[in-house]
Amino acid sequence: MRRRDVLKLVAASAVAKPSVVLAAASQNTKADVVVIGAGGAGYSAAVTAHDAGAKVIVLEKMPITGGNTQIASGGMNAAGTKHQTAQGIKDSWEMMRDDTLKGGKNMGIPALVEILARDSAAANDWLTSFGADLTGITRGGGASANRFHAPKDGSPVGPELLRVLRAAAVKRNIDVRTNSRVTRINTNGAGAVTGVDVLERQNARYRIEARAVVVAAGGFSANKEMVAKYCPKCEGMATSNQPGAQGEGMLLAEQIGAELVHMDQVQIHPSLGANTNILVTEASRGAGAIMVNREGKRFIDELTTRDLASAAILQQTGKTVFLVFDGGIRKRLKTFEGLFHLGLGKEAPTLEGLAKVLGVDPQVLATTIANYNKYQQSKNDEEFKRSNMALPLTQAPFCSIEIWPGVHYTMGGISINGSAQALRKGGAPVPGLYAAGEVTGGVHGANRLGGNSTVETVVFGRIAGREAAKFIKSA
Amino acid sequence: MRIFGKEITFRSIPWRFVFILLAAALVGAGGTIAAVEFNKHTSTDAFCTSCHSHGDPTDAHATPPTDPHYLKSAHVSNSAGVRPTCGQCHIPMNNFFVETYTHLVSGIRDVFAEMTTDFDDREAWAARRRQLAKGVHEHMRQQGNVTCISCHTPASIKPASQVGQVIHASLPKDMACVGCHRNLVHSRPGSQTAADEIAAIKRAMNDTVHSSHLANYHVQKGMTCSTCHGNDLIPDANATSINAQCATCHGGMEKIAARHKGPAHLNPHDSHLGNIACGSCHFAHEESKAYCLNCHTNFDMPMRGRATAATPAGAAKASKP
Repeated sequence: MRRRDVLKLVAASAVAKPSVVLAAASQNTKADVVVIGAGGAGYSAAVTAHDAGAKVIVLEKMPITGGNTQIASGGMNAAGTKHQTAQGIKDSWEMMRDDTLKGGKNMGIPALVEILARDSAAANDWLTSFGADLTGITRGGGASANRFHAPKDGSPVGPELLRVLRAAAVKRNIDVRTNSRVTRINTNGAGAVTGVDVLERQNARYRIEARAVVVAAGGFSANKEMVAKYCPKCEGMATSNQPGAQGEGMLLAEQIGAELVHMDQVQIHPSLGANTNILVTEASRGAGAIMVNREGKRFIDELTTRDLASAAILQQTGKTVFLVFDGGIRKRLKTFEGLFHLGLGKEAPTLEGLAKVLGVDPQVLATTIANYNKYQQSKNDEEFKRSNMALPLTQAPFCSIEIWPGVHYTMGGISINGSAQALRKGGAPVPGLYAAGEVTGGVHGANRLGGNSTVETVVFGRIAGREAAKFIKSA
Repeated sequence: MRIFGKEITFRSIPWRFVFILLAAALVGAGGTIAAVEFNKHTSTDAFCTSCHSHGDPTDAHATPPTDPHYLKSAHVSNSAGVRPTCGQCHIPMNNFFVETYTHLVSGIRDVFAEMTTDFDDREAWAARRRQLAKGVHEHMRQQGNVTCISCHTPASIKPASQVGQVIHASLPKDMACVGCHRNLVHSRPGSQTAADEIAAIKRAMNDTVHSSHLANYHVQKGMTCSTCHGNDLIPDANATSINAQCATCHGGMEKIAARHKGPAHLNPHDSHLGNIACGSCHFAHEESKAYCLNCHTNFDMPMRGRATAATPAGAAKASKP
């Protein structure tokens, strides 16, 4: 070894400090509050708990954050917001409560529905304070007022919500770990939460000690076994959900004594692009599209409820059907272009041409369309009593999107009270365990109204974050 | 007396200078002997374990008890009966100056740490260990693995398996042996078991050599483990460091998105999912799969490192290779 090397070595030894920042994820650690799941509810809980003074770690098993919120289109329901007032819309939280109870066939737990409606405007304000644009207000299904808030330009509400919440988490330096699956919620002899066990994608296992855990891990729509177990008629269906919607959050809570409620309440969406998990909005039928089976015939009132439409589709040959519409109807709905971009649409300059593309008997299809146009003219659907027929199908190009039903939302989940505490059978809370978002049950009842899921994530996410932070300071 | 034609008398000798020289020599000799003794004394297992919470391996009743992983490790119980001391692995002894310097610096640092931190608090200790282990790895790397190769000479390293041969041939010169050969003597800090970790590294290396996945592709192009992993081979959960390495060659998401040749509205690097981790879709040691395909099952998305995917004919092309 030459002298210069020795000197280099000596110098190097002197600075032989760890050159890489400690990868904290691969070791046992401590936090005040652990949040399971980094979607709308998880981020809302994490930011709120952090602002209440808690040290928070967010664990997301997927490689990306966002959950179903990332793909939530449409808007967020909120009643009595400043945006509504500014636009002269009359609404109240009582109206929203009543709409939600009615939409859920009066199965929703009244105390939770009331919180959802009453806190919705504050949730809207909170997001606005982070810079969210929620000024585009329209009417969602089952609503008695325009309270469906989304960005002004009509872009989907979910990504907007996450845009501001992610930025808020980054600004607060909140520890968000992807590829990190919770395998167990640990408890002590008294049944109180003591933390979680984590499995990283690289197979490292470690433990986080925390006195409060917020489960915000979403529903189980993408878990085929759970769907089949709780909703036998949904067995084998596709889903509109992201692949992480596996329901483990519910099972983790159940393992430590929490009760699961309304588990058999599963919402089916009648129209996903066939052979895909891409949602085709129901507005497509509202805009005037009809549904035709492989025999070239209509088979139901296209505007009937989601469950009836789905059941009817599954009875058709091949268990998929064709949404058929014309150039005029296509122009009415911006989403149609997106669906064509995604390769889901087919078109032809003539009806006969479309029949050939779809593999349907051209003569039968021609008769079906001619009849429908006649009913549309006379405003009387002699076959299926469809109430609203916007336009006749007359303009080229003639278009079609093949659809099948899919599991869309799971209304059931962890039983909670108004403080987002997870409850045992009988109503006693599991000490330290909180839950928010689709992972909980009882907020919607037998059916969820469009726009009520995003608001649920924020309203109950904030409550869970606030209560968890309060809990860790209480003792 | 004449020396080189010059008259030297007793008086003309620069005694002051001679005395200084002699004194310096004495001090130097004494210092050297002291340093050698010091090095020797401070390299014994008993000395090291008097502070390091490990347990003297030569004492069966040591308190705290000797790490069971250590006792079972190949450097303690092996058929050859070889058992290096702490110092033989941790102190580079090939060079007197470096040896002495290492003793001094790390000794002072360790004494300071021992006095300022309560390592009897197991949590404080666990929290420190991984950080410390990284420091040790980096130290060994900077010293060119001298303590390892003092026994395992480079010429004698001949892996039996093809995987071992390929991996060793592809290694950069300045890699730490312990970067891959983990859990050799001490179990890795953290709760992952040694067996789990060794199995994971073996799987990754096996895949690198035998698969058509991205790691294999990169190695064939002349890259090494550390091209992607740096010197810290186990990626963090968010894959932050790996992503940064991807970007150093490939550019960030924006740059890659700009190179997209397919339809503008179907750009996987500029999608509604935003700026996501590279590893969400591109897997180095397993088959890559575009995250998009979880929902857009009708897309045909050819990508390197992907097995032939069964996609319906006429499906939308989201990107071109």
